[in-house]
This record gives sequence, C-alpha cells and structure tokens, in this order.
Amino acid sequence: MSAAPQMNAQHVNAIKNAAVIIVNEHLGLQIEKSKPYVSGNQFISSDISVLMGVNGTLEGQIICTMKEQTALSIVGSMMGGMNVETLDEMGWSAIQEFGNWVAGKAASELAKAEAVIDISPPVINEGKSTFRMEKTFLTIPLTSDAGEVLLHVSITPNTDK
Amino acid sequence: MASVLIVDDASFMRMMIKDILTKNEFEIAGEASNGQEAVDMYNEMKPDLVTMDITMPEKDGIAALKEILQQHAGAKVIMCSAMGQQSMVIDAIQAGAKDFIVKPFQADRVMDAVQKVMG
Repeated sequence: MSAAPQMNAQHVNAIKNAAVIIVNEHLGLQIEKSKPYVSGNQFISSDISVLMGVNGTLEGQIICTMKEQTALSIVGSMMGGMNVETLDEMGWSAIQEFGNWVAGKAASELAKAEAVIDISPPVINEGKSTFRMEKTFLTIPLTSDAGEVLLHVSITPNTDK
Repeated sequence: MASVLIVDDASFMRMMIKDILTKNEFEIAGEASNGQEAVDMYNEMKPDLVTMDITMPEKDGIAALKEILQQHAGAKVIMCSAMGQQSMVIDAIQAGAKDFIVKPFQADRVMDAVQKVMG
C-alpha cells in the first residue's frame, strides 16, 4: 500500500515550470503540454538517470530519467546545436549539468512559493533501474523535440526545519 | 592579457566558460573542480579574476570565496551558479562576490560581468 502523496501542488508546479524554462527557453526545444501523475513508491527508470537530493524546508529527491537518444539530443543542444553521437566524459558531465540546471531553476521557482531548498551535486545512474523509496513519487513528463524526459519527484516538508 | 581561474565541479561548465573567455582574449590561469582546489590555486597563481561555482564537493563556492578574500582582500570573484534564488545571490554578494551569473547563461552575460568587474 502506498502512502497518499503529501506533496504540495504549488511545489510540483514550481518544479515543472523550472524544467519547462530550461528545456524550452534555454535549450530552445518545443515542449508538449503534459500533466504530472502519481507513480507510487517505486518506478523503473529509463537508460540514464540524474539523481539529486533536496534539502531545506523541503526534503526528498528529484530523479530525472531519459533514453540515451534523448540525452544525446539534450547534450547536443547544450553544446550549441552540435550532433552528439556518443556520451563521452564531457557528455556525461553535460547531462549531469542539465539536471543541475533544472534543479537550480526549481530552487528559484520554489523560493517564490516560500520554500528554501539546497540541491546536492548530481549523481548519474546508467542503465534501467528500479528506484524505491518509502514516500510517494510524482512523475512530471516533459515531451520535447529531444524526446521524453521524466522528472520523478518526491519532496515533502522537512519536519526538522 | 587578464588571467582567469575557472572553478566548477562539472568539466562541461569549465569547458563552456573557458571557450567564452578564450574567444574574448582572456588567459586561463587554471581550472579547479572544488572549493579547496580553488583556494590553493588562487594562492599559487594570483589570477586577475575567478569564476566560482557554488554547489561543489569538498568545499562549496561561498566558503572558498570567503577564504580567498580573507587572504587577498582585492580578489575579484564572480559567482556562477544554477542556484539563482535571491537568498543565494544576497549571501554571495554580502560575502564579497563582485557579480552573480545564473546558469544556464548566454556568452554575453558572462562577458558583461567580466568586463564590468575588470573595469
């Protein structure tokens, strides 16, 4: 039995807006409209995942997952429209940085909703994996010219703060 | 030619910043991938300018900024972070940063900041 989501809709929207700003305004990729949905307390990732911890008045995780082809397109856009065929060390660094940009922008958007958060340096997981946690994940799908990026988000108020 | 120390844990970001600066005829004094390396390299190289990320392992950019300024009051440091919320910007400026660039950025934004700081 999965616990009912305790995430605030305003917080989820802030994160979604952040991702849209990065993908659309900064990378110049067209985005289709989509709605967040509840994934429960586990999900199976796509080929590549960027994991980031959230700490502050909210705590939890943001896990950004995508197919390799999507990652290649995103990295290509980040490098100014280059055609990228494989992820070398620089490419891995770039996709990590993509996660950082989304999470950093999310921190700014969340500040408008009176939430103060810090983000831990991103960690990459390569290969399809099952992620489990005690709390519920909400999934924000982002479909763009680069393919689909799923943002799996689990953030709840930090009871210590 | 002014020399710049680039500090960022992501090699991709270091490459981007290096690319912008070298195209604009700046010399790259060195690259550091965490705050401690930044402090050590600053002491060694005394660059004219530093671009400093904030979220980094070992020592974050704000702590490194404070340490550099303690030892070199005239150091010119521009923060360069994805964490652009107002509280972070205020912390950095109060700690002595000359400017704050939010990632992702355009090359023009970087050059505006650099030229303003270098006077």
